[in-house]
Formats: sequence, C-alpha cells, structure tokens
Amino acid sequence: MNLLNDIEKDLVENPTPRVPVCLVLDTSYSMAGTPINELNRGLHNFYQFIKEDDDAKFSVESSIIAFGKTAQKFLDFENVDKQVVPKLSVSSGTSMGKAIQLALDTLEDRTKKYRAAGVDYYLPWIIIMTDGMPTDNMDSANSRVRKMISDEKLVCIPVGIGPMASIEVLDQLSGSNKAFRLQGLKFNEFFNWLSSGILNVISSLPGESIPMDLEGVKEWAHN
Amino acid sequence: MTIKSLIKNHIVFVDTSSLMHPKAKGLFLENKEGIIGENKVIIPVEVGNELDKLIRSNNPEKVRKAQVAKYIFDTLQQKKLALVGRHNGASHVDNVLLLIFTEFRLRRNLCLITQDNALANDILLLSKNKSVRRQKSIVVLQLTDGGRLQAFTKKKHPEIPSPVKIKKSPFYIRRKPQDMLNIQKLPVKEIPRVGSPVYVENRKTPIFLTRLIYEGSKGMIYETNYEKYICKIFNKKSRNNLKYEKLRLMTSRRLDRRGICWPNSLVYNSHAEFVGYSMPLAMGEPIQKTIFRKHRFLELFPGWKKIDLVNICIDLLNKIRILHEHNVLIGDINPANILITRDKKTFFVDTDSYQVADFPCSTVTWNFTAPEIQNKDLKNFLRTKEQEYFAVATLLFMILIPGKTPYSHQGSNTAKKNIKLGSFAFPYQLENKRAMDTSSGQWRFIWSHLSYEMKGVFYDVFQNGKRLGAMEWLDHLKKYKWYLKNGKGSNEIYNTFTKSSNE
Repeated sequence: MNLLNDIEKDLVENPTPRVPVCLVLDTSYSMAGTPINELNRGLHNFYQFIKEDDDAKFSVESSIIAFGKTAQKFLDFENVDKQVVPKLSVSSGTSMGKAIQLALDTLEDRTKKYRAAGVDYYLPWIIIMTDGMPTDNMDSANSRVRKMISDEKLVCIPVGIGPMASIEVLDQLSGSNKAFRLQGLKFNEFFNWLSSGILNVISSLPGESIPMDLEGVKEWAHN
Repeated sequence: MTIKSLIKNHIVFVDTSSLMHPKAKGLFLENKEGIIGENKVIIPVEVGNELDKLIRSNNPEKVRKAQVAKYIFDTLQQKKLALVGRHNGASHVDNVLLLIFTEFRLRRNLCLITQDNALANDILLLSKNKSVRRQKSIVVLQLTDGGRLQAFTKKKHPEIPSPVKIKKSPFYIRRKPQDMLNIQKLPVKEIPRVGSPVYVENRKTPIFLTRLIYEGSKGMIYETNYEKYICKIFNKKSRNNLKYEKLRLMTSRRLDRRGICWPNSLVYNSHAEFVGYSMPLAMGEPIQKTIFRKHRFLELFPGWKKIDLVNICIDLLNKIRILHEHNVLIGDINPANILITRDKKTFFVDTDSYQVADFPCSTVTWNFTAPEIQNKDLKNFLRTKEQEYFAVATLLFMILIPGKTPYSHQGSNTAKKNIKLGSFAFPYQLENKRAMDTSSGQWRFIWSHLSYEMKGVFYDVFQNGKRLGAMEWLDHLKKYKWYLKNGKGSNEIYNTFTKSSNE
C-alpha cells in the first residue's frame, strides 16, 4: 500500500515544515466551574491566534486529548483552519497516564505521515495540564516521555493548576527542567506564552535549537 | 499659489544666511515682496548669537555683512515684525531649525527662507518622508540676486558622505579572533529615539530618526529623513569597544553597493558618543518567509518560474563574490537576513554580524554550518571560505528546492547530527551514485526536474563533501539558466510528478 495515497491533500500540497503541538488537559471534576471555563477561554484564544497568524496557520498542527474518567481525543492533528475548538466539560477520575499514552500514539501516527509525505517537522511539543493526582498508572507514560526527551524528539511542558496539583508527578515528565505551577487561573497568559514560543520556533528552520522563553514564564507561572 | 499667499498660510522661519543676503534689507525692511506684515516671521535666537560671533570675526567682508544682518534682526524685533524664538534642543542654528521642522511638520504649514543649499535639502527631505502620513506643507524659499523670493527645489538626492579614508584593498585574513575577554561596555548618556538628531561622520548637521522599523535584541533600526538610509542604534547592553572597532573597520571600505546593506558611517548622539551606524535601506521580504513558505511565496510572487529562482541565485552569488573578494565572510548565512524583491534582486541585511578580519561572526544557523565545524563554539571562531561554501551551497539548494534542507530534518532538533552524518536525502543516478535516505513527496518531484548537471553538483557537495566558490556556482547556474531558457527542462517551481527521462 502506498502511504502517500492515504495522506490528506494538505500534507502533499503544503510543504511548510510543521510543528505538532499536543495539548493533554485535565477535565476531572475538580476543574468544574471557573477553572474549566478559563481553560476553555484560553484554548479558544490560542486557536484564534494560530488561525489568524499568516505563518502559524500553515505550520502549526494541534491535537487535544482530555482526561477525566477516561482519556479522550477531542481533536486529531490537521490544519488548524479545519479544526473546531471543542468546549471541554468535566467528568470523574484523572486518567493522566492513559491520556499521555494516547497523545504519544497520536503524535507518532502523525509524524509517520509527515515522513511519508516528505514534510519536515520541528520538535513536537506536548503540553500536560492537571490540577490533581493521576488515578491510573503513570509508569509507561513516564518512561516513554523521558526516552523521547533524552533522544531530543520531544519538548514536554507539564503545568500544575492550583495547590492540589502534584508537581512531583509532573516533574517526572519534564526532563531536566522543573514542571511549572500556574499562577491562579492564568490560562490565557499561558496560552499567549505558548503562542509566542511557537512563533519563535516556526520563524527558525527545522533542526535549529530554539531556547524556551523562561523570562516570559514569569507572566503565568510561580517561580 | 503666490509668494504672498504662501507666506500667509505658513509659519515663516528665517536663518542667518538670508539675513546676510545683499538684498535682505529690501525684502525684510523695505517690504519689496510685500510679505512683511502678512505673517510674523520667526527667527531663532541662535541667529542673533551667530551674527554677534561673525561681527567679532577677523574677516572684514563677513563683519560688514553680519552688521547689516544684525541691524535687520534688531529692527524686525523692535517693530514686532518678527518673533525671536528659543528652542532648547540644540545650539547651532541649522540644528535648531531641523528640530523645529521635525517637531511641527505634522501640525503646521512651515516655510524656511534660507540661502544654504544643504539646510534647504535637509528640510525638504523631511517633507519627502513616506513613513509620515498626513503631514502639512513644508516649503523652502531662497532670495534671488534680484531680491525676489523663489521656491528652492532639490537638485540631487544627497548621500551620506563617506568616512574620511576609503580603502580599496581587501581586509586582512586573520587566524586568531579578537580576544572576547577584552570586551568593555561603552558608557552612554543618551540612546537616540524617534525624533532624535544623530550625527554621521563628515557632516556637521544632524540627520533625524523618523520611524522605528525594527526592534531586535541588540538594538533598533530607524528610518531617517534621508530616505535611502537607515540607522541601527544599539541598546545600552550592546555597545562595546569591539563593536565600535569592528564597525570602524567595516566603514573603511565602501561595500554598500545596491543590495549589500553595509555600514557606511558610524552614528553618534548629540554628546558625540558612538550609538550605532547608518546603512542603505533594504527592500523586499526575507527568503525565509517567502521562498521557504509556499503559501506566502505564491501570494507575494505570483507567476514566478524556476528561472526566476535561478536569477535570485545568480544575484546573490554576485554579492557573495564581492564580499569574498574583500575577504568578508557572511559567517552565519541565515535566510531571514537575505531579502528578495519582485524584480528578482536580493538585499543582504544584518551585515554588522559578518566576519571581517579578526572579528568573528558570533551567530550561527546550524542548517548552514559545515559538518567539520558543527561542534565548534563559533562565537570565538574564525571561519574559512571553504566552510562558507557549504553554507552557500545549502542556501542555493533551498532556493531551487524551495524551503527543503539537503539533509532530512524530521523531528529531531539536532541539525548538527544530520549534517555530520552527511546523508544527502535526494537520489542521483550515475555510476551507481545514489543517495540512500531518499526524501519523499513533492520534494522528490521537484528534485527530479533539476538539470542533470545541477543534480550532480549538489550530490557532489552534499554527499561527497566537495566545496565550490561563488564563481564556480555562477558558471553552473548560468548554464542552468540557459537550459531553462531554451526549454530543455521544466520551468515550474512546484512539480507534481517525477520527470520521466533520466535527464
């Protein structure tokens, strides 16, 4: 079977290098009320920004995996113009391990397609946001993420929301850096920072090392 | 519009040279043009000071003229026909007038009566500034020998003068870079901003920063009232003795030909402190954001064919040839710093980072860095021409196969590894030469349509480590141009199928 035949038209017609960004988001009950509303607002603004930027809209591909009782893929990777941002709602449980596995599987599927289409891509980004403790096993997810980081095949940005978020668990996912803890509910500030980080990446060439804007982190994370 | 109605509709300024004109008495005191009384004229207080100085000078002719001029100055003031104005921004009359015109040109119609051609040109340049919208009228009048007022028209676009000594010889090739431990920050009282006067070498009157066009980590780039020139003004942190020495050396050669935005003068603030440099204005859009981005490229340059990309390559190679002849290396060939225009010309910007003599280029784009120096600390390292040839080849490849790097970059952030492995991602068949790690999709189609010769040259460079200078590349590209011009191969940029024959 020729894999090229299965690849969507966009990958064949748009040879712009892609930056895959996977958002793995906690939608457990503890996120009910203002937190989930603020998260939805931040997500909406993030996609709006990407869709309106002349370069980003051709380069950025994003997927959304939400986790509560189970892990669910709300958006698969494709051109952002075609994506409708989901409104996330809450459920019981915090299946973070499963969600990360699903995110990495989704990412692998996508990068396979990039390779088949000959589309270059930047280092993929995975953003993990949670306000609590995982209720499932994290071992496989941890080791897969750590291996990809050490092979320089992934940028992972774990973010704890509120005082109950287990930073120790998130630290396991962040390679040599420490996980961040969101200031209050500054989702919007976080997504602004993420957007400008992505713009920096796509203004370079694939293969270049672009340092993370740690100064800008102060706008939304505790020191 | 008559001179009389023009005077009525403008605020009129008078400088020293006009008061010293032989027919000044007739114009200002006998009102022969009928302009006095229509509107008060404004004379900077510095004109009076300048006349006092001239009266005390040793030149009898100047003393006589200055005495008459001072009489006119005093009489106009006493009869309340003129206002004597003060401006705190400068002490020299020309500078005061330039500051006033820069400040008020958006709010009032302004007129200057002067006999000084250089000042007249500078004032008129303010009215030509395209970046300033909704600007009011600026008029310059001169007194004729017959005592009439007439409009001054600019005869030639003035240029920023060259520094004192321009050398033609190439820069020396050095083996050891400057010792970075010797870097010392230079103290500065004032960093100029929009509206600030700045001084270039060999010119006593200032030029003005009129609009911020770029803000970077090391400083700002401004348009000036000289529309063909811009100024880079360093921020406080980036001003150091080595930067100053490097720019002094760079401005000793005139490489600012059309398209190479080479520093042509050091720039100083009003305290005579080095703050940056001037250079020719660049045009166009960066290669990184055009040729390397299909959607934007098709939008900005519709109708371009492969031969247009070849012309871009030839144009930039001609500039690289000039730089290399002067022993200047770009160092960090970065597609964000080469701009292209619709008429297929290129502009090289950010040239102050280039490697000159023992001043290294401290920035690096790994995709363009030769395999043998991938692990070096390039901040304190002098590159060679051969190493630059690798970067030039990469750039040419990425223009002709628009945006694609010669080595695969799929997911890893280590361009270093891929280049060091030297596994060229495109197939080339001749005497069993064939790349193993073949790139797929549209890239393969585009690659297949290159001429057999071009494919062979790229293969030799990226698979076999051969290095070609600008002249050799020019030969190959001129042949490729002939090939396309004579219909020997596809002139499309984005091919959608593989070429059937081997050629």
